[in-house]
Amino acid sequence: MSTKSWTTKRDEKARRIKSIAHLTEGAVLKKENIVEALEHLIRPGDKVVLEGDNQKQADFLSQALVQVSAEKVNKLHMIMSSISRPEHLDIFEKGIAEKIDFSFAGPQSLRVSQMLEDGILKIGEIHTYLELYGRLFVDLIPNVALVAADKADRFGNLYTGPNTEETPAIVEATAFKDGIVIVQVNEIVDELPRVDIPASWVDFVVESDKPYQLEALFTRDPKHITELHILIAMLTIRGVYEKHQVKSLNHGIGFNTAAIELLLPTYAEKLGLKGKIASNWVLNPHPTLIPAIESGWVDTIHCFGGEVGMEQYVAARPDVFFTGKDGSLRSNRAFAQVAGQYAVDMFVGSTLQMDRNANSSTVVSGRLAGFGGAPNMGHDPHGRRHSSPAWLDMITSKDPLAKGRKLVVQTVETFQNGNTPVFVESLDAVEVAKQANLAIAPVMIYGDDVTHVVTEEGVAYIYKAEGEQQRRDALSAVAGVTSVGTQSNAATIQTLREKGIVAYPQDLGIARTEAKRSLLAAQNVQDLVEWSGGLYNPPAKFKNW
Amino acid sequence: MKKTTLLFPGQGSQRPGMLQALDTTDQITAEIFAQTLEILSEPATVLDGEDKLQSTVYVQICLLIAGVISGKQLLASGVKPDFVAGHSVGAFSAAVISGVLSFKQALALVKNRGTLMENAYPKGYGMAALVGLPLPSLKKLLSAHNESQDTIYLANINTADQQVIAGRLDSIQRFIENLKQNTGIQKARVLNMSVPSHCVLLEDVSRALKIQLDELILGKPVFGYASNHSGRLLKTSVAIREDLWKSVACTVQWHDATTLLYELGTRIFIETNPSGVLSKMAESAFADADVLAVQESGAGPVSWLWKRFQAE
Repeated sequence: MSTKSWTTKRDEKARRIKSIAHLTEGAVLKKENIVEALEHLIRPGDKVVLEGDNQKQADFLSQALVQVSAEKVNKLHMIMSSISRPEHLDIFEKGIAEKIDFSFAGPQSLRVSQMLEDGILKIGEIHTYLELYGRLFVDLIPNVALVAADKADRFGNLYTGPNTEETPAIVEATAFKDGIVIVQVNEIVDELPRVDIPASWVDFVVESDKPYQLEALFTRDPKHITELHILIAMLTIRGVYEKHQVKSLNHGIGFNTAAIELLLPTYAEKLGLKGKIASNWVLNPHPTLIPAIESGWVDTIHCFGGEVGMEQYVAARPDVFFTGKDGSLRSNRAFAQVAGQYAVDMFVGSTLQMDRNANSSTVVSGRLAGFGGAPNMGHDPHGRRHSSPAWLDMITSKDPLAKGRKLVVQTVETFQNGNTPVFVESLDAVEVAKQANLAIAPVMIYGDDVTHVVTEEGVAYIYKAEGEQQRRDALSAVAGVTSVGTQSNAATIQTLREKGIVAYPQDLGIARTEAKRSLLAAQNVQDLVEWSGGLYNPPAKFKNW
Repeated sequence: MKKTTLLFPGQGSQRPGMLQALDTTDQITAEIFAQTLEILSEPATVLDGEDKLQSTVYVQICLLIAGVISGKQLLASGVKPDFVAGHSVGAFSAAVISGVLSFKQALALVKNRGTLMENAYPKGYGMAALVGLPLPSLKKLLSAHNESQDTIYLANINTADQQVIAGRLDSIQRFIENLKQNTGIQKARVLNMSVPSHCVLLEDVSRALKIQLDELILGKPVFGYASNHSGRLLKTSVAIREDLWKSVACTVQWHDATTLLYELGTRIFIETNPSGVLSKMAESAFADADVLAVQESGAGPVSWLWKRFQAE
């Protein structure tokens, strides 16, 4: 028998935990000792997950990590779904960390690219969320996880409540591979509303000095929805939802999709579509979905995370949302990503740039922003077997083995901010990849996954196009006066319309003049509060009445 | 905690009478005016006439004096900045407020900088401001233009769609004509500026400034300083010294510099006197930041507002 030890990781974990025995009382770590504790619990070269997505941040722990001595703790390999806060990068400047794998860096995207250029940090890979979560179980297994929860008891049971998000995925990958799980909590209580993560997965809890940072990322004020957004929303409802009878779906967070949500109880209701489309959703609790929920349009919603101000409303609608025994929302980013990628019929999103082959990207030159959830949701999972009318409706061949497709719909105005064309010859992402020496260009959604492109000009059914040229022609036909759009000609467009590869508003029975703000079920945030019967409590910055 | 950045404007922000309007009973103003008289042998109040401001030498001197006075007044009234950022010549004011240069050192440097720039290209050169083109498109158009015509340089990148270009005037004029005909550009305007600043054409000026700067003993920066030429945050006098001589011959990376300060946590921008230009850029680029301008209200009220915004 081999004399090799098979418990090196377990032994090392035990050693580290023992080394801070003087700082702990059971699972509870005192906040004033957090920096010293981290200096003992984290070793040079460790893989460390620091929780932070586009909403919830383990900010007490990130602020503690930046204070550890770089002599004691260094060469860390950070794994973070979102680089959001200044100290996330300060740990690289201070020599505590040297490498990072991440998904999204929007709020720090310039600094990431500068630090990469200056050799201050190394990038492992820029992942989609699911690739990152998956790799936590393969070759990015954490030695230490620094995460956030709302409440803990003194044993270390956790209540993560509406903002459970990715905490269970991170903790699972760490706890069951002899990593150390350290959790900041807003408060330590005697009794939890419910247990979201059991104490046996957790090593230490520490009460933070203030509640963790939480962003209201999914709130769109209906006041800012324009008639152009409404026109695009009408085209999408008629030309996509109705045409393909789409029942299960995910929406991005743009104003185009907010307009769709607010047109369901009005415009779509008049078209007699209630019960026929848009009943099962995977998305955050968008406040703009309240009127549709209240009007009986929505059967179910599974959420990636919570949304500030929606807690009471969600708790009062358990038939629609996933909630715990305590009544509050249970979100789960990893499961919602899987559901949004694999189980729904349609993704509807938006983008800043699209090229002639419908590849799209939100990357701007000189900024390494990475991705949000769109690349997982915005693609066709080729192995899917679950047949639904919408999925089957994408079949374009007579091959007996032909399979359906997920609908991946991009809704864009042809110009953003009035003068920057969305349709371009080449994505900035290509240049960014060269500058940053990335293995592949940071494309958000690949053109070959896109089935529909909707602009204020009309709908391009590019899944129906035969060959690359026809696909490009279809895209040109809805690209307006951008350089991509002006390549189209009247005869080609006429043929495409006859074949149903392109539809203009009149082809769908829509008059442009119908697109009025009065169609919106809510004109502003106050209307949303009223629809909710006072249950929705918007953050102060949206309270403008 | 919200972080605060002081912004110091550069050429284009000057106004006739900008120094005469200052209150000389104020101790800081009186002290800076006295030092000005000592170094230049001219009172500060004769430097800002309309005729004098035709010369970049006086423009730069006036901007330095006004920037330093209002920066010092802000500090005296209790504003505690985390960072400073000066646009072009404004960088010298920023360096003074951060404690890297004394005002007298800065005044001598700026006078020399202005004089060298003015003498470098007396005729046929200039600059133009563009609004409405995203940077990647402008870069493509410039490289196409430069293949067959006198080189035009990118002098300032101010926001995502506002830039300044520099080079030979006739070439600039042809370029602008082409922009107006073939792009959706909103504004393209030749500036009243006879010097092609912030491009390689000013490398001699840059070298002369380096020699002058190398002789000085500089202080350690009290506040982080945003670099013009690299768009990085600088924390040492060595790095700031390099930026002060290099930037005159390099593109001003204002968009990157201010974006970096925002990413570093700046949520309050205060533009020193004579304010307007940089506050507008900050307002359009950072919707959720508070932007204050000394020009409108003076240091006292700005400081009061700053304390309120900080607490929010």
